[in-house]
Amino acid sequence: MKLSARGLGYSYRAGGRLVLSDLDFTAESGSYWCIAGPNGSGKSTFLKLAAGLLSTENCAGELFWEEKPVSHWSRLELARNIAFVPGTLRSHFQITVADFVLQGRYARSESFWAHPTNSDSNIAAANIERAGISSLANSLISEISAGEAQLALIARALTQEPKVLILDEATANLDLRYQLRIFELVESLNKQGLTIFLVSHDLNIAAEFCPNLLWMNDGTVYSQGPMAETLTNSLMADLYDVAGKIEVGKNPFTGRTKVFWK
Amino acid sequence: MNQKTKSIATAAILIFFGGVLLSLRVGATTEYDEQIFYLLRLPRTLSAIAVGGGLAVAGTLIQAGLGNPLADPYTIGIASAAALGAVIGSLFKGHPMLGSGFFALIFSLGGLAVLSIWLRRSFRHATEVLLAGVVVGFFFTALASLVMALNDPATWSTSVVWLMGTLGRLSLAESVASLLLICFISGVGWIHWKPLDLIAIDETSAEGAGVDVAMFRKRIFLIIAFLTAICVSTSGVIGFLGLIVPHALRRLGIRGHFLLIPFAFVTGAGFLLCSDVFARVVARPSEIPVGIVLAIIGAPAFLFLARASIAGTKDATS
Repeated sequence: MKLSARGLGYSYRAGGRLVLSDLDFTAESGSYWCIAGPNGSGKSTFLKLAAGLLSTENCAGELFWEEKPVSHWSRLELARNIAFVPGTLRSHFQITVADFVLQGRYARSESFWAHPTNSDSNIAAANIERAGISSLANSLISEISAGEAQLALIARALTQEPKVLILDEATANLDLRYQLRIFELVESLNKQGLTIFLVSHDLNIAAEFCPNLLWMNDGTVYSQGPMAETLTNSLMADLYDVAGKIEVGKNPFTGRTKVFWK
Repeated sequence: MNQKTKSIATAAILIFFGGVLLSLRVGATTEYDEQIFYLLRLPRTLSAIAVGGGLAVAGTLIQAGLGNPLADPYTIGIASAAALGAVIGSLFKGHPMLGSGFFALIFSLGGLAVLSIWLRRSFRHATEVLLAGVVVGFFFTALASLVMALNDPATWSTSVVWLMGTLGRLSLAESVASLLLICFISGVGWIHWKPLDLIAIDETSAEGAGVDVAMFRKRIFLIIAFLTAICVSTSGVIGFLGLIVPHALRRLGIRGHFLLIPFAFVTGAGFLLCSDVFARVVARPSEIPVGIVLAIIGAPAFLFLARASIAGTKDATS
């Protein structure tokens, strides 16, 4: 699905600090974007707004999915098209991984009280397998590691059968094995046609997988374009104040862009 | 339903029917007396089922709706509003209609209106709902204390008994009405089992999966407030039950709200019936307020259960 933002502005309360301001951005259907930028630059707010997870009350400008304003999409319509994967899952209550993933069928069920069908269970089981966590299906979410919980969140998001997948720092705090698994899984989903937005601070692993990069700073777009053209020395120096400390070059093994510490 | 769930269901049903039998039979006389049966024991038994079931369901709903296992129906301040009503009601001593129960119901619905207006834009945020409930609770408690301080203790002494919780107040017709209302509202709560399952785990991911968290939370809040209002006007303030019953059932492995809500109703009713029988007989001829018995028996029982389930989890994961 195509996402377009025109002059987008947002603050969490009326008259409060503008977290987003005058943001213009278009992502074509089926594209794959890494969204990066310093902390507090508005990355998560932008994606939460796009996923319909924030009230549009204090919103300025326009934000569209397929030329239909986000505020005109119902909660259920959004969930059937867009799946949002948060960075962590913290709960005081217990549930098995299988039941948690099955909850992803909520927006596809006939009513809010209907029991999941056999087809729902099959779709959930297939996504548990796709995420590589079949052996954990009967474990409680409190008993699995952060990386496994992240895979469970992705499996649940896929169970929504979305057209767009948004991952908000989904690989933060994960070891290399899980980071790689998630990036490989997301890449395969993009190849199947899903539009992907992924927030990451780890630019080296993102550069290996994401074809496009959106730099955000102070609530607006700083730069955008193909990874090789936007992950540059000058942009990084400006954004992170690291002039002279880093050098952007090529990964000798994969030929992709890579940030080296000097 | 797996074997463990079936065992818990059997135990809950046994406690419930055991409680009903004891409540109908135990008292100063074990001989059947139609007057005693219809005027005292049957209304009291029906009140206990209504209040025990209603508070346990309200507790289940609020814990899930706020994603907080420490919330209980009184957290949202409705009981404090009812308490103020009861204290004011006791000033009209002797009036056939304007008693503590009547005023408790009116004030709890008033408290609900105050909260709903205050929270009309904030139901999306669990912390704000919780905070508003606690603040409203403190406010009404302070007003109740003010009314008590400004009046002769003799005028409000009856409300103190009411504030500790007592089940023998209603007529047969009133207790039937209370039970029917609570069953109906609990049923309305029950059909929300699926959004409750999602919101309990995490409100952001529930919203992402398609649950309109603010809308459902508002509905659940109204259901809890009505349940609490009817419970407190039936029996006075009986604490502990709404916190402990859903908590204990979750620890026993009943996690989905499709089962948890009916289980909570039956277990809460059974638990209150048994506690009330104990409260009636243990210090005969006088009677201990049932709320006190509940806490004295329930607290150690719950701690024992919590400890056993923690040990069980450790065994399973080690």
